[in-house]
Amino acid sequence: MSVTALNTKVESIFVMLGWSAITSFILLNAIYQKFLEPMTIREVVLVFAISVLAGILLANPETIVYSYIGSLALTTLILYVSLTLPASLIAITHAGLRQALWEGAIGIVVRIVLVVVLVPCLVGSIFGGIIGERMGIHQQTLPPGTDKT
Amino acid sequence: MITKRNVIAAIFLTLSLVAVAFLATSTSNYIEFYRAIEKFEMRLQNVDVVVIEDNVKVNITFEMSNPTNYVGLSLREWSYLLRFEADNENLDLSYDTISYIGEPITVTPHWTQTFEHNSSLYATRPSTSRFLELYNLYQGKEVSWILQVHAVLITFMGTMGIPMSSPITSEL
Repeated sequence: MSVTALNTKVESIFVMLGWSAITSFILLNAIYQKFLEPMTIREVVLVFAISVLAGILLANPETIVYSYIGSLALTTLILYVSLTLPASLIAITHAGLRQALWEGAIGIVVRIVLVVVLVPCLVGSIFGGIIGERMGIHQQTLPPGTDKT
Repeated sequence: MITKRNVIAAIFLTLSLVAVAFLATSTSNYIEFYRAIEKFEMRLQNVDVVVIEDNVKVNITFEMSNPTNYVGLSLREWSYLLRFEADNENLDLSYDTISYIGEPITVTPHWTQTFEHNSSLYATRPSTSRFLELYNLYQGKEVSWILQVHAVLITFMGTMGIPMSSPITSEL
């Protein structure tokens, strides 16, 4: 594996980590305001916008797809772990309530991921990839003298 | 070298770091929520009773508090029931509901607020009439009061009712 390829791989891992951190923050911030209410268009737009940025930074369609899958999995994990933390840390003393939170969080996370993350992230990142291509941002990552093809 | 890509990468990195910082803060506040609901408390401080012929004026003073660091609660309403206890008899003397629907009280971290409520009761009510009889029997003696408060809090999970109870012993 060349140094350039390794750099690209490390970069895309960092983009994926940042992508899932920002997405999780947008979604959890909304949940912490109104737990049982559905997400608004604002969250969808924010998730889409951050996915566009991630798409611009990721080098090619293949990397976008891999990072998207990774980001989706990590966001789901962050959402579930954060929502169930009070039960895991025994901040809730009532055993039944702890169980309810562990089980209830699955439904909340699945619903949010399906509605707000799945499609907007994919469309946003592909859209970002196209923008990056049009703006010639990807060429800037290639070392001087490298053939684009 | 400053390229478009580097600028976008810097924005993305900054956003990521800010997101992680806020995520940690808001999640720790979320963990506190359950403790705040569990530890939200009320303490009866004083019950004053003044009897003028067949009229009983009751003044209660109590405080409600949030002993945790949680941010995000508001008090929308509270209702109370004051119970009088002497020997083998107990009597539901007064009750009322106070609402702050338009302007709920913001419950800040480590919030404590004293509430005072006055009520005027007449002997036409059976419980007041019985209390007047007991008042004559127990005047100057130690009696027990139990205040039951049902606080309605606005939380991020919707409105929640929290029942609380606090006893006090005082001279009638």
